[in-house]
Amino acid sequence: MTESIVQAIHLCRFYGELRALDEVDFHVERGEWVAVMGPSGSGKTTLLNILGGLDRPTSGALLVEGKEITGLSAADLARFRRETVGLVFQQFHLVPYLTALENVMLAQYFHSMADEAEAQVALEAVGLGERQDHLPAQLSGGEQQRVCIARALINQPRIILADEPTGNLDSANEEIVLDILESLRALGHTLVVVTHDASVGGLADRIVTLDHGRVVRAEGTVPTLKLDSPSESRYPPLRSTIAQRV
Amino acid sequence: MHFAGRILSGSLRHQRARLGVAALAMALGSALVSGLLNLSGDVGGQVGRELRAYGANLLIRPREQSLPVGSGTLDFGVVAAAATIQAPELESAKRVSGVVGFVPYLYAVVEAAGSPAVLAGVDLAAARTLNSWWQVRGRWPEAGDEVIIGVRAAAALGLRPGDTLAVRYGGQSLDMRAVGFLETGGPEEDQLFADLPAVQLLTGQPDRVGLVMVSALTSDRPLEAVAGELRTLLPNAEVRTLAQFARAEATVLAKVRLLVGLVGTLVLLAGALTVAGTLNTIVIERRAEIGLMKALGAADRSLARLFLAEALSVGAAGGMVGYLAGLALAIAIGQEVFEATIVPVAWALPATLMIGLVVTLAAGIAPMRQAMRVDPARTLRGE
Repeated sequence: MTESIVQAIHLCRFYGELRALDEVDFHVERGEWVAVMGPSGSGKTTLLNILGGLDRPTSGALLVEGKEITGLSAADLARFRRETVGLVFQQFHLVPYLTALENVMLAQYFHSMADEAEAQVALEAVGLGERQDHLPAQLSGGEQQRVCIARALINQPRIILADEPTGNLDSANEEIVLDILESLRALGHTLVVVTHDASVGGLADRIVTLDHGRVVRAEGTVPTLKLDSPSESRYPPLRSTIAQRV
Repeated sequence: MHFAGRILSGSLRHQRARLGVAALAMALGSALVSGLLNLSGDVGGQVGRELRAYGANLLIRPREQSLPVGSGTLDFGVVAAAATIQAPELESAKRVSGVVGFVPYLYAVVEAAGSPAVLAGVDLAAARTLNSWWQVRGRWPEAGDEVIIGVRAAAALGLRPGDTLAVRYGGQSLDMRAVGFLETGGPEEDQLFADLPAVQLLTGQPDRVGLVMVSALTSDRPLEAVAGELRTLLPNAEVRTLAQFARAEATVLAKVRLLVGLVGTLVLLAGALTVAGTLNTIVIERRAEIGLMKALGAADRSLARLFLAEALSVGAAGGMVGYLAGLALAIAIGQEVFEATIVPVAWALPATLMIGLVVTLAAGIAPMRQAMRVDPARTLRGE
């Protein structure tokens, strides 16, 4: 029996005359990978921002683990962000003067307290154990995205929200990142991934398509595109490390 | 190192150029503050000492003694008797805090070169130091039989440099040589000045003093306080403040302090504006980073702590550099302007640092609030 971890009801977000989200009903089951797709300007990122507590809807309700979050105070919303969600960005958004390790520790620091050993394990889990002391400028785009993923995972969030996680990557790095996401799904993480890439969307359990701020389609994906078990990972070291950790 | 320290050191390294400018602005402000504090700890004293070059501001003289005059049952009333103070009584008065000049005089009306004249016995070395504006043509007396003569007295007596004149007092007589002529612009030009012991001997009043001109610094304690202490020490003497000098000194010192305060405040304001401007620019430049931290769940107080730690680092670095530069400035000014060695004021370092930190904190409040208002969703989109 499935359980909705996220439940959006009649969610609206207006910017003046612009209806970025218009009466969106949306749900995510625990352990599910949901891809949010649609053309540019369809409201994908707006939806993700509201799910992540970065933005507030103009109207409607958003329940996460049964708790309404749209009415939370700024401080409670900050707590929600650090305790409940892990964010992966298209632009990586790493702090330029902190090393890969310190960028991961940053999320720990804001959550509770920085733990270097734990952050090292997280970086090893994404295959960057040897690169932990490098600054973002010394890392490739794919490596930066993996640091971003390690940072998103470090506080063991209940939901991982990724906004075009492969949008800035070449195909080789895209493959690595997708492999990590698949591993996370296999380990039971809940993922909401915004993408305009059909091949990425194809890996999800379910695709929700937005257009002009409205949900125009919600459907399952082609089963053959998905990996069935951790042993089939294209990136075995990551999977085994994460499995050990979790 | 605590992780916050790692963030701080990384951030400071990353923005060293811009923060360096802010620290430099604070250093400039702090340098002037430190310089002014070090000087003002001493500038009052320095100005006071400079003012002391314009003569005494206290006068000690014996209380007039009244002698009853009469014969048998006849009472003719009282007459004032010339009174003097025993010189040894004055020793403790010289050590009163603030007293920097102490010139004993003994006046006598003598017959000089056949005419009546006022002869002043004086501690010549002390008088020369205290009355720096006295101009002596010739030289100051070096022996007990040498005398300097006020220019008007010299003209009246028809004396020329090198002349010897007979000075008579009572039954005593002394030949004295005029070694210099004195110009003061004051009544001293009508008098003759010789070494105090010589006049005491001539007038038969060994160890007696008729008047003491005292110069006291007013930068550390009021003149009246010095006068009060002198009165306590010398119950048989009258201690008077020379009010005109005292008021002038108080006015000058108050103005100097006001000037010091105003300049310091303006400089600090300028420094604060520079720091505020720099921090503001930093917030604008780091909106994405601040937005990211907020997206990661940073509480406002965590961000505020990081931001203020940076501001305080700027303030501390600028304050420290500024303190040292200011001290050097004070020493240079002390030597060039006051011709005195400035001793560092103990509290100038903590005061400079504290002022620098408070000003930086105050300057950081508005930029910090701006940082708190950063919308993570918008900044992460690159808006």
